[in-house]
Amino acid sequence: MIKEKILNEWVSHHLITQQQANNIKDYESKKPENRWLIYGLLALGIMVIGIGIVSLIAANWDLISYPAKLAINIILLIVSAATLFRLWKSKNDIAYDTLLLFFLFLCLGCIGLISQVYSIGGELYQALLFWSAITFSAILTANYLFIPLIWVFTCLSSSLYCFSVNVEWGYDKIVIIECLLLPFVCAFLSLITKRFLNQLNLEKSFRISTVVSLVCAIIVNDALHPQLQRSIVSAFEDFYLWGHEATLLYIKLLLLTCCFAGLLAIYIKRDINYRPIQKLLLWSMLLDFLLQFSLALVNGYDVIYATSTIFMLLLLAIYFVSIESKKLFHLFLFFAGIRFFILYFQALGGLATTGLGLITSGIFIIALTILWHKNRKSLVSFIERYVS
Amino acid sequence: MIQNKKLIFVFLLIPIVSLLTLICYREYRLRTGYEATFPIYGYDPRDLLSGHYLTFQIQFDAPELCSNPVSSKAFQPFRVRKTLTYICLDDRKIYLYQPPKSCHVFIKGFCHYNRFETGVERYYIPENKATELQKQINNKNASIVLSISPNGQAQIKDLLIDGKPWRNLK
Repeated sequence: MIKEKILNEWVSHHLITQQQANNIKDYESKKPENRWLIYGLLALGIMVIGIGIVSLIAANWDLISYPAKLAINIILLIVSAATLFRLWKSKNDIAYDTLLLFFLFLCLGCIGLISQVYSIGGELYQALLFWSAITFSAILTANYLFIPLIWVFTCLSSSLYCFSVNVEWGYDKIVIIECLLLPFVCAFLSLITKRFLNQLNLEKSFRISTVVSLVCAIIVNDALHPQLQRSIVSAFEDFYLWGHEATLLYIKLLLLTCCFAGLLAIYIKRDINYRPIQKLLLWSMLLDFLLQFSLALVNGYDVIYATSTIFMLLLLAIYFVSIESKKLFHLFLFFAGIRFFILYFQALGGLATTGLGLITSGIFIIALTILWHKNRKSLVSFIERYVS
Repeated sequence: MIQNKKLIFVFLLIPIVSLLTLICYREYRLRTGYEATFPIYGYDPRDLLSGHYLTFQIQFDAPELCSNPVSSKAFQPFRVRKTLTYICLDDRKIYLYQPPKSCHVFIKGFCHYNRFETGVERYYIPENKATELQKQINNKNASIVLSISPNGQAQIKDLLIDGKPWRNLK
């Protein structure tokens, strides 16, 4: 919504007439207000109710018989579904999504009730995986991003946990596999959703998961790389029966990841929605990602890891500029700055040398920024010509 | 947003049908399975009541159950060290990896770190009866009634204290 102050300024500079300014104000006032606050509060209310329902079930409510409990739950589900169908017909998007969230919580509550009534053993991740499977069709009917995003994060988290507990490997080794492969899994799921399901919200959820898992992978690898290196090179050798096989397995996993990266790179090249500069940024991110995980095989220095992380964070920041997401640009620039700062303490150690290093870097950053600002257009057009 | 009326109807119905199917399946297993009672042991009432459920070990009276070490093979990082195990209730013999062909009733489970797990080591109890039940179990003989399906999967039917259902205790 354009502020009145800006309109008055334009009128005073004769850019628009007073009549035009009044017309703009009228037009803006008739636009629907930002619904996110309402939606957020409604969703919070629903989530609290949902948690309350689950807690009631967890309290082993023994006052009524188990067939009655199950019947009440199923009736509630049917009534919710019928109401959802009516809301869909009346095109009431916010109410629909709010009730859909309640419906999904009710499904989870029902799973909890069934496990309680029939004393079914099992872990929370198994219940969540089952919930993800049965509610997949329902989340496709959501109007906004919120519900598919919750579903994607729940599904991925429970899948990762399932993998972690059912694989006979140390925790740090599992982290390697998950960090290495998860961003690609999310990216491919996003592509599959876009191509075959044509579900924008679900596709966007997987894209967000790709970015989040990519950032987590970089941070984890950067933070844990000494332990990871020890794990790969020496801790795997604890299994004396198969010695270096674990390292070979890691190389195979890395090669598999390279294949995924290659497929993704080809897709990026063919996708007409990406501008050339965006393609270059995405390819650079893929390369940097593979490089950083390849470093685990050799005794890489901390500085190399740090440089790789800062480079990735800067690439992400620039990419968010290209898609006009200013808040994310500032966020990732901030992260890159923090990592830059930590790097100096790692690399230089003492306060005096760190201070000199930081001053030099600050001057370097400012000089680069001024150069970029002056030559931005010619540089971008050069890159675009080169890439296309 | 999906515009097709039929599609919306089907998509919203799928979770309900799935849950109803699960309920029907569990109820069917409970009612049609072979009923067997086993004493439970190895519980410590002080730690037993995790949340509002009882955890225990079932005494199957099968010698050498889960005592065979898992044969060590070449590096298999994606295999969990759980051995599929069957206990024939006719003669209490152990069978590995495949169900016994000549056995009338058998229970399926996994040997994991020398423990036999069937997925029925947990029983939900009401919050307000937890402490009272704990006292009863401390002093009495407790056993569990299982309903066993033809493929060996067990489901808890009831908890008995001194041979009587725990709900009948005063």
